[in-house]
Amino acid sequence: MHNRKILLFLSILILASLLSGCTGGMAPHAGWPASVLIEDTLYTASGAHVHALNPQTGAEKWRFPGEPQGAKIFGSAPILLGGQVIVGDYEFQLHSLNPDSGGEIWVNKDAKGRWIGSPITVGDLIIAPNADYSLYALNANGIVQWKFSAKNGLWTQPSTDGTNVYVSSMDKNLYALDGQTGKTLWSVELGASVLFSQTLADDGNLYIGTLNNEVLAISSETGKIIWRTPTDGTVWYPVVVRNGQLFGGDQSGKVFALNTSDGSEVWKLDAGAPVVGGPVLTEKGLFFGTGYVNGEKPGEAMLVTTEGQKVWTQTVGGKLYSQPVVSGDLVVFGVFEGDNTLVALDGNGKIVWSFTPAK
Amino acid sequence: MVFWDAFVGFMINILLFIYSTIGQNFGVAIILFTLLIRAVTHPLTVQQMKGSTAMQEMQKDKRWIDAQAKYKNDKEKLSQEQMKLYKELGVNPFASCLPTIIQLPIIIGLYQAVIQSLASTPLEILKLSSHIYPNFLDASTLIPLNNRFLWMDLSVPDLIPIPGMPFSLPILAIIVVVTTYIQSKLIAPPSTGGNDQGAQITGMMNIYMPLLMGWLAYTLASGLSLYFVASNVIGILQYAMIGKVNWSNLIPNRKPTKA
Repeated sequence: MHNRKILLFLSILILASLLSGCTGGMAPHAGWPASVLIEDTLYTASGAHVHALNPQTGAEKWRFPGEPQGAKIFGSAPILLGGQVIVGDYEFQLHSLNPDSGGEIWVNKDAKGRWIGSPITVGDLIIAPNADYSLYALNANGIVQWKFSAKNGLWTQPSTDGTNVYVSSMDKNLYALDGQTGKTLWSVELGASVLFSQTLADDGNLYIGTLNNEVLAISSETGKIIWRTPTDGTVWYPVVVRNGQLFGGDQSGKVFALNTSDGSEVWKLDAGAPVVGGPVLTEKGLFFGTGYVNGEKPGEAMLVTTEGQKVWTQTVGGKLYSQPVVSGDLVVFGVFEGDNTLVALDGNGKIVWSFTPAK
Repeated sequence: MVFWDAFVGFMINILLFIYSTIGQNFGVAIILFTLLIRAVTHPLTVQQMKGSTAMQEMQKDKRWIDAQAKYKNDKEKLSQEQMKLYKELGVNPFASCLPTIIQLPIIIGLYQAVIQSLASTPLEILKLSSHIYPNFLDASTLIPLNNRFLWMDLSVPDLIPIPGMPFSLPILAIIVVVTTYIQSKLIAPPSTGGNDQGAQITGMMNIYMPLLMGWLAYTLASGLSLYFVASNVIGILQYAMIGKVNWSNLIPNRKPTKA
């Protein structure tokens, strides 16, 4: 009987493990890496750490935290405010770090949701979107100065013209706020949720991709929708705007260029796999990454000219869902479910360095 | 793996279809989805119960008991005698476990469909959106799902703060513990005697399982806890419908009745 009791106890433990495994454990799944280049440092939020790297060699300068802290996950790229690196995590904490050492300066625990979108700075304020439906404005000491509440989560990195703040929400609205007070200037209903895709262009218009498979052009002054153009799939990341054209990619695997004046299509190219991460534009053209959501086939990095011609593709292993980052002659891709976390390519698609965090 | 993904995707589309049909209330959708799956697998449940009852009846047969005693040191002979008795009494030894094995992937698929629909990070939304059939459901009107149900946010564990107290009350986890305990007591098989090892194991399960489910409910998204509660309540009703509930088992210090 004693053996049976032990067997029963072990069976229940295995059942608990299986059920927990089915949910991916108690913590949310870590997403794909999110990077940003600030001055001469590449900052990458990936899984349990924020890494500071040399963008030319991939050498790690520091990581935060030094050791994983429970289920703490970093999913959004940091920003720099004065002498502080600001980054949020999935355990509702917003951290201020020393850019030279990665040491923590302060931590804000006011939010009730995950920090999924990257913050921005407006003057001396940190403007940070949170999944608890709120946009937080904090001073350089991490003290909340004002808070704006939407009707659903805020995942998009806000945009600013230096005075006003524009932020789109999972509640299907775009809001324009006074950057110093948080007062709502206008809002507009977009018809579907916005994940990350929001760009404020030099022409004063906001270009936004929604889950309704559309790209919209909206006047930042009035909130009026100027045009809306259907896409073949969801546009996840911000489009790039230059010389009267916008460039983007969608989840159906299309890369496209639209006229910013009326949203008409200039060209469209089949990338061969879903394009989740947005493009980055250099003198050589547009760099994209692809990645299948289901299936084992790896994604590809690719260079496409601004005229819509594919120049090269490079398989780097893993799924390329992140927005690539340009550093000098290199383009750095974040890799999800691959052998490496980051891969840096030159303009010809040759792998220059890769980064895998040391255990 | 691809087949399993496709199966879970199918379940997600049914769940989200219910969600969109009833006015986008995910809590009600989980309850109706659980009810639907239980209804679909009801014939298997009935078959499992019949098989289980036949096995219990057979184990009371004098020839079975005699064979156990006579060949307790000869496993091979005992096995032969048991097979002979199965044939004579027309009992299929797999009749109770086969329906369970068939039901298991359906139940796990349901469980995963609920989990994956409660997407609250970019990666989870990406996976969810890739599962939605574009010609069947409109992802743009469904995402994000309305996770509010009664007092709960179904995407996070249910913890209600108590004013003046340093801890929060996990109301749904408590309901999960209570309903799991009641269900396991009500459907417990009848005891065959004081030294019945099966009854002792059942008794242990009646304690461990509610605690395990309560712990899961305490730590996982409350949408999943809601599924546990719905599943328990529907399970009790299901067993009651086929006359296999021992209501007297809930009364302390009373000998369990035979179903």
